[in-house]
Amino acid sequence: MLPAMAGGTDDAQLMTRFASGDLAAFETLYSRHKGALYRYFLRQCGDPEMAAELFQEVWVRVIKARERNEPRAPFTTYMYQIGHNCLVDHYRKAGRSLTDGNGEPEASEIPDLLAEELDPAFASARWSLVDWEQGPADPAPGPEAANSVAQRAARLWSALEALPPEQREAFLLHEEGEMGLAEIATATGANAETVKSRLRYAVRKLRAALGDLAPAGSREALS
Amino acid sequence: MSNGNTPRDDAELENFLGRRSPLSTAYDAIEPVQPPEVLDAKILAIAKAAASPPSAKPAPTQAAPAPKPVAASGPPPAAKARPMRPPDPARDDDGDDEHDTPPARRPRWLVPAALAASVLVAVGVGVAMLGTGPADDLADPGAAKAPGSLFAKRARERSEADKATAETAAAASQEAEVEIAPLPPPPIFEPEGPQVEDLDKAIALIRRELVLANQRAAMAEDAPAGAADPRAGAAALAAPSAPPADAASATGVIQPRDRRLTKILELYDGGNTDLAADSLEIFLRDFEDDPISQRILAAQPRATDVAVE
Repeated sequence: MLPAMAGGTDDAQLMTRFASGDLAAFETLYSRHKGALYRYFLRQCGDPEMAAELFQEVWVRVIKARERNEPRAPFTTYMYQIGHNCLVDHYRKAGRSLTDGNGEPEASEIPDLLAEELDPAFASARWSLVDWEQGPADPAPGPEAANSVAQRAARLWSALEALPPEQREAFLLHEEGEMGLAEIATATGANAETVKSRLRYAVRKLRAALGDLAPAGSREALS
Repeated sequence: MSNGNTPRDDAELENFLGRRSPLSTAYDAIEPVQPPEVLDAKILAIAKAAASPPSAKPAPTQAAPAPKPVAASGPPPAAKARPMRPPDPARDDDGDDEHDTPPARRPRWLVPAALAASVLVAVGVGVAMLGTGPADDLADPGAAKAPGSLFAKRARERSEADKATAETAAAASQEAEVEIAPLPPPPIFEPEGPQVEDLDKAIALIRRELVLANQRAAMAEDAPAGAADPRAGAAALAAPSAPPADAASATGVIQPRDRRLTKILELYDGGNTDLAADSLEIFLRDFEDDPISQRILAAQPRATDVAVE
């Protein structure tokens, strides 16, 4: 979704200019990252109001911390690290845990995860956090619309909300934040192997959700 | 114990991290939701409020790379539509930013410099004012040689004042010399009327004339009446030149001429010589053609002759 990760340098420069009082620099920075961050929160917690609240909280923290910001990491990593902390606080207040443990699935849980992968309806019933406005897509679309892009997006949407929060977060940070393993690990405070495992499970489940809806070329790649 | 990862899972993950997975394509197909505009305005307002007061802290210590044009990185429409600040009509366009800068933002070194300059000016004025006492201080040749200085100006003023005083004193001394010089001899004026220098001789002449006049009057009275009246015979003798017609009038009425001559004799005989002299002079003016006046003036020495002598 973002133009390029190479914009990290520009982001640091914009942040420096904003720390010097350049409001236009902040406007540029905000315009560049606002959509991805908002979607990160919206698809992570599923509540537009809560997403807006968390979204605003992140930017307020960025604004307040502008003078002591030291760009040792890309701005995207810095921003999503704040977002991750805000999300953890949100789940903690709600009496839940973002990781449901340490986020690292135990070996004994793997069969269950595989079972969930084989049964999307089960996963959806288990991991659905909120009722989406448009609701989950039809798990069994008709053959005439099976190959349509919209149907595949709807299927992916349904499978995404069925993912465990930490797996879904890793997936969203990669897709929305265009972050690699190391950056995701930094933003979420986990090690790179943990992030890699979460992404592996997330990809497996999502591919299973899409099933035979994947394009021919992609299907060959997946097979 | 294996975690169940297969080479297929690793391949899927590699494709996914390389954004070659159909999952990424499917995810991109989902509608890219954007935050509400109200939320945008709220956050931008917060940022604007935070950026309004200038930050006193320096920028981050890490060296920032060269600034990249914002337009190249795609500025938001709001940034593009930001109106340019109109030029301030009250701002001076001479490029002298130092004068346009508020006093609080001017360089700190200007404050002690201005104080030092004001102290130097105050000291110079004070010394000049105190210099009105001793004249030697202002007469300093070194100060007079310094053109444009306050000391030189005061010295020039003082020298001009001294020169004017000296000129006034010289003019006054010249006037005094003129008064001391000898005056020219006074002019000799001619007396307006006959003056009597020898009063005694004049009185003698008058007395003789009166005797003769009395004799002629007596002779005139004796001639028609015999020699009964001696004054008639005397009057005739005293006035030989008098016409015969006047003899009767002269005997009957006292002539003013005779009365005035009698009065002069009475004054002289009474010791009033000054009054007698003044009365004689008046008589000489009034009866200038009378024979007694002619004889008195002929007997007096002339004034011109006295002056020459």
